[in-house]
Amino acid sequence: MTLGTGRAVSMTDEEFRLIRDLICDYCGIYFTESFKFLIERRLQPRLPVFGFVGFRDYYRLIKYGRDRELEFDEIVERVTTNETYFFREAYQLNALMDEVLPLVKEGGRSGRRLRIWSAGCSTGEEPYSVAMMLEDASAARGLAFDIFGNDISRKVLRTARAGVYTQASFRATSKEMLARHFVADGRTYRLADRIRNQVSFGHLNLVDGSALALLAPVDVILCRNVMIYFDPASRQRLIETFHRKLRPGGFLLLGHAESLINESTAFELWPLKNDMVYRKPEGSAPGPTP
Amino acid sequence: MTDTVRRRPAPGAGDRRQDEIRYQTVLELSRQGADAVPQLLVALGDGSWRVRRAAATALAAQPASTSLLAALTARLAVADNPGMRSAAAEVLLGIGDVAVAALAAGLASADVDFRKVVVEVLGGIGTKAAVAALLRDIDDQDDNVRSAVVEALGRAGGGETIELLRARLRVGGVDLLQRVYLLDALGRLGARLPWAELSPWVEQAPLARALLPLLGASGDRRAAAVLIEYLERGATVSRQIAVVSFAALIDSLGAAERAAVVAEMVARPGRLPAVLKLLQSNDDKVVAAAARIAALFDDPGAAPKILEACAQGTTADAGLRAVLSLGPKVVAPLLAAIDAVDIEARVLFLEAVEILGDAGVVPTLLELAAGPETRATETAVRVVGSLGGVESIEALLGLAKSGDKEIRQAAVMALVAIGGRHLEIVAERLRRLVAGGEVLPGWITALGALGRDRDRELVIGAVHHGDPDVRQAAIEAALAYGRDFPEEILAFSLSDEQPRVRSSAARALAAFPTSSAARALFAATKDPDDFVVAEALRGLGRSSTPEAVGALREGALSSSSPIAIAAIHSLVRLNPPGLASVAARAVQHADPEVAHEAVELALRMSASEASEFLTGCLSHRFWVVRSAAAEALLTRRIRVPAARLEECLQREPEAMIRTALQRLLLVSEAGA
Repeated sequence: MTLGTGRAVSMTDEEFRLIRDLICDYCGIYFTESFKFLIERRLQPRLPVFGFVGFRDYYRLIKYGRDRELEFDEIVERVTTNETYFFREAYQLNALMDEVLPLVKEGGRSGRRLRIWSAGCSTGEEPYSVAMMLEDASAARGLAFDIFGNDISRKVLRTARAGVYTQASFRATSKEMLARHFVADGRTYRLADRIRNQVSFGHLNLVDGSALALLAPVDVILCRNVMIYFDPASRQRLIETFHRKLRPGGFLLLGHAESLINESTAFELWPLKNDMVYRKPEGSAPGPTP
Repeated sequence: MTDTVRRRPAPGAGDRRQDEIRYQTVLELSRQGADAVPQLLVALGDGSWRVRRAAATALAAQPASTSLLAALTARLAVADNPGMRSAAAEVLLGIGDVAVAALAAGLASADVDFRKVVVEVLGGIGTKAAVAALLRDIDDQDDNVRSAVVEALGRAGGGETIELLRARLRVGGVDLLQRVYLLDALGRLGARLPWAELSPWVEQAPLARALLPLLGASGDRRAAAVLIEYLERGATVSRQIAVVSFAALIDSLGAAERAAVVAEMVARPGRLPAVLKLLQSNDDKVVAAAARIAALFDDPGAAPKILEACAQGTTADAGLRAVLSLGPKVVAPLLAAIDAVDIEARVLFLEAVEILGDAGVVPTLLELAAGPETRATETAVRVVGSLGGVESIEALLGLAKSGDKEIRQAAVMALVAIGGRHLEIVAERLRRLVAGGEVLPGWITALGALGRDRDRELVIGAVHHGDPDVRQAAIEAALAYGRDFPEEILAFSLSDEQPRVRSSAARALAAFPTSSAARALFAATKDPDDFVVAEALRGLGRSSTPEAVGALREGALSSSSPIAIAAIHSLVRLNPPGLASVAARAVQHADPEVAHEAVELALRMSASEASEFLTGCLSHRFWVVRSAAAEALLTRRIRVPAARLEECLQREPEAMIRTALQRLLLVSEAGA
């Protein structure tokens, strides 16, 4: 660690482009020119940590540096919006419990554990929301679940595993759910171990094919408000990965503003009462998607 | 599966194949020169966007002959193929000024739709000749074309256009739609009209959106009442325009008038909620203006809302400035609201607290430092360093031992910041810890940064510690002591078993201008670790021995990028003879960043050598090299023949580099 000065340094257009492209190569997240100010502002505090006076040196650090992976972790956490909260877009989670689960249950072998993957789970609110809702869902009775979340940022995963949240995470949480599943602890709320122990977390770069190869097939994928950050090529690869990882008849749930229109025809659009989700057709062969 | 909806049937494989064949054909045609123009013009009307796009790109690269311009202009008239019309417009826009005469001829057509498209393309070209053509058509017989002309002039016109549009605004008989376009065009041209010319229209609600920016630019305090009225009671879009215009108005007034206008705005505190509501806009300009105007109400309770709204976009600085203008009274409401906002807002809140707060907020900051999200907690720790006194030391020592690396780093930096105000107390506390056997890398880093002479021996001792993190921290702390640190200890550390310790030692040794340090660094250039070699080469940039220069020349051509970059950097510093040959080879490196660094060597070349080298680099395959070469030519004021620059400009796909080339062309033309 170097203790440098904290002067504001501006980022040239060229530096922005180099850093932006490197971030995209690393994790598929793409920023247009209009994000230059945001990238500059959020990465500026990293320069004094290394004693740098300009972004070119910082670019070289993340391109060649011994600990570049660690710094990318820092970058991703800073430049992505990790904003999430419990029971976000609750209508979709309700649809998962009331309509998707019965279908998945019907199609599965008896006695098999159902697997739910929260892809890009940030600080864990989404998979924990699913775990809390499964406690009450009638369709979940008698079933065993594996719920797991992944994110590219180790920092957000630390928060997820700790299960400690501030008030900002509860803007859509009822008092009843808060009281049932959390314990107030000073300025924060601690999630009950009963729920915390139901969710596993892992570090995973969604554009890293070799890391994704380790993931076993799943029944439901939640990937909400994640693909919007990706460049078209990475988005395409990710959709293909989702297709490969879903069991036939499994479901993909995207954010309310996201769709697979012009992206893939490998999924069926599956209308629900209050939502649209995507399903991998029954009988689809595992392996590469069309 | 009967209830399944397939949203988008897959296009037939045959269709896709046909599209691909036509696309490849157009690519082939694009290589055939002028003979292919007729077929490319046909392809401009293709059903596939990719094919049209390829044809447009190919046509834009053709010489702009009269027949080509006429053919392209004629295609603007084809109403039943909008794809072709857009593609033709795109080519004409790309051709620019040369196409104006052909387009202007089209304004004589009887086809109203065609004339309107021609007007839009002329507006997009926006050159003097295009504006002149538009001005000639300002009295077009058709209402829609006239409006389009005014709108196009709003994008392209200059001072002369403003006067003409003002004159038209004054004459009677202009219909409402025309007047909207006139006001809008004047606003976009940045016209500053006197109150007398604007006041006749303030009662006409349909004109509001076009009129409000002109009121904001008028510099007349009488405009304030109208803007306030719209801000309070207008439709959403009008309120958004009004707030931006009001902010512009107060900027243009003198101190006394500004105070009077601000007093007029804040006279009714009930207006504040209307302004705060505008913070939800998706337009950053509106958010920034609303933040500024909200701050005028001097209500500290508005501060959290302002910063929360400004945290995500490009408005963070505007929000911060607005909140800082309210003074220290915002600190309490910001800290009270901090748990309820997302991480970006939390960081921004803490930045405001850092500037406005005092030691009284440190206990709250330390509570936040124990929070779950690392970045907000890091910021809280940093602010403790800015505001805290000696009473914060123990808490920071605890945080500096926490499990999170970033928090540990932030706590050490905070301890150093407090040490800047209470040197003896902080340094003594750290010294006692180290002397008591608690030798942590953070303590050594902090002691080095505090830089007391009496701690030097302690830091030197840590170079021999069993923990490589401590050894590295001690060597990096040596940088703070400079040449007061024993050179031989650093030289010895070049044999450490940990490469990162050896890298730090090489970096620290660079501070010693001795021959023994140079010899040690030269030996380190044979290290098996690339990063150690790179640091050693960087250090050799202060030594001009033949061995050092030889090692740097060799390093500059290394296939390892960190080594090559460090060596080139040092060569630029040393400036030995014969750099041109090194530059010529290094610029061919497979890594764009090394090739880019090689361009720096031109700063040390003679004018003729640099001119030849840099001009050659303008055609390099890596855009970073072309960009650096263009900037270097500008910096050194080297004139490149205009023909060569024109040639580069034609081929250059990067807008950023085209701009630099155009500046070079100006330099070249000025010289001629």
